[in-house]
Amino acid sequence: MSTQTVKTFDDIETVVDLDFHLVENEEDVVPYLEEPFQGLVTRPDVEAPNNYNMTKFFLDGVGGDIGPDAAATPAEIKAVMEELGIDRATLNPGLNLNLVTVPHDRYAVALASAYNEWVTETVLDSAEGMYGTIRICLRDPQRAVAEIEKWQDTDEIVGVMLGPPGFRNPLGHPRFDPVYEALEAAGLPLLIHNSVLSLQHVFPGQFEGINTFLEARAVGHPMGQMLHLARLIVSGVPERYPDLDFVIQESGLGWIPYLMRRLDYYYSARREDAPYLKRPPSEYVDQSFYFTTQPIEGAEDPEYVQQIIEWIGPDNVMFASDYPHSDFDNSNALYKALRSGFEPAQIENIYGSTALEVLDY
Amino acid sequence: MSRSDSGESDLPQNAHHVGSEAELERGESILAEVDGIEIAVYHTEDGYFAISNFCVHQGGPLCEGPVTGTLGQDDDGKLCYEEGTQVVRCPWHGWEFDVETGEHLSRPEYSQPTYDVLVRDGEVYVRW
Repeated sequence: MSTQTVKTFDDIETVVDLDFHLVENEEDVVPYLEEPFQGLVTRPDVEAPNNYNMTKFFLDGVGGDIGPDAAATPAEIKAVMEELGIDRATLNPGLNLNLVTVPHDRYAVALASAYNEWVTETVLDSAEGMYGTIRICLRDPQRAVAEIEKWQDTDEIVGVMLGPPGFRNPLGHPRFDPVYEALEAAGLPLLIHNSVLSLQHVFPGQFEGINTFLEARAVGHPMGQMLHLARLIVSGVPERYPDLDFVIQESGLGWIPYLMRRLDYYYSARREDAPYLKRPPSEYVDQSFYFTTQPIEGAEDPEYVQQIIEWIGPDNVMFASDYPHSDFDNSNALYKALRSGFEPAQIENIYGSTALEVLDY
Repeated sequence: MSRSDSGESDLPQNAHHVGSEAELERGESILAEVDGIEIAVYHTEDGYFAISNFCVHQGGPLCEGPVTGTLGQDDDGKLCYEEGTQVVRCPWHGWEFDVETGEHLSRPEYSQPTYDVLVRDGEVYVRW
């Protein structure tokens, strides 16, 4: 795929960003809401719909203003892609990522569908490199399957995004098997993306002990992903659906080799807890899981980053920017940490070639 | 560094004009380009300061960030809001730098280059 010509970031042939966030609000998707909800939320006695109950943190509104300028319109998105050197952006939801905070089950399901209509009709454009994911809401697995089947052949849709599932809908439960089956049949990966703004809903017990945005981000993201990954593997999902890929997002990298070894360690003694498995857990990680790099911890220490990626497996790691959030990675930050330790072909894989194989661009 | 050396008659050779005092009222900042280097120039309660605009972390535009006080603790360990420490907060990731020394507040191994500022006859210059 590549060449020995990667001397600078600009030499990378195709840069694919796995996580570029939109900044939609609830009103944007109202025209696409199914009934009875569109009628309900546009009734004269209802002000602008405001049904997400997101977690507030200390100094919200100060820290919340940190981050580069958001890109709302296709023209603005294109401008940022050009500035960051991104050839293909995977546009993911902003507000809708926090669907778990919407109290009404049927409305949450309707919001997921409306988001999919909105994003495909008004934002995504494969000719401009603007691809995206659809949202599914696990509160209704049958509807989730219907959404996958509805959008699976749309050019712009490259994967299916799950916001933070949490304890209410633990991944790996047999009632979600039809969803995994539909994803595998569609050839679309499942992207799992936590959100600290949903933390209070997803991990209410743990939230009591988290005081600050710093802790929520540093601990909340990988904590959630460790639980999702362990549950999926221990419940045997990758054994039942070997062609389904999972993309774990926004939790950095160092915890992954740690968890792989730790799962293997306990599997050695507690195999009966995971009777569906035929191989050690780490082999399922290698087979079925991909990890996006942002926020790249320890970037000032390239040896650390390179060692961790070697341990995970360079072909299981993909670049993401998380633009425009306040812990986003500028597109060349990862490159600076990689260039002294990886061959050009490996850098090409991490920045785009692997994504082109795993997702449906 | 804050400087107002109105006593000297000639400008140093390395003084580069970046604007007038009227353009840079207290609380304001401007972005100057000197020999291709972007420099953020601030007028704070404590005077004029100039710091490299390109954040040492990931290249965020410092001049677009606010200059504020910051939360710290006093000698008795009580939390206090330090009005006196003037902090540039990068608008991309929130990294805090002392506007006078350029030092990162929690990671002193990171610092931004700073530049002397001269004010002469209502005009503002950066020495570089």
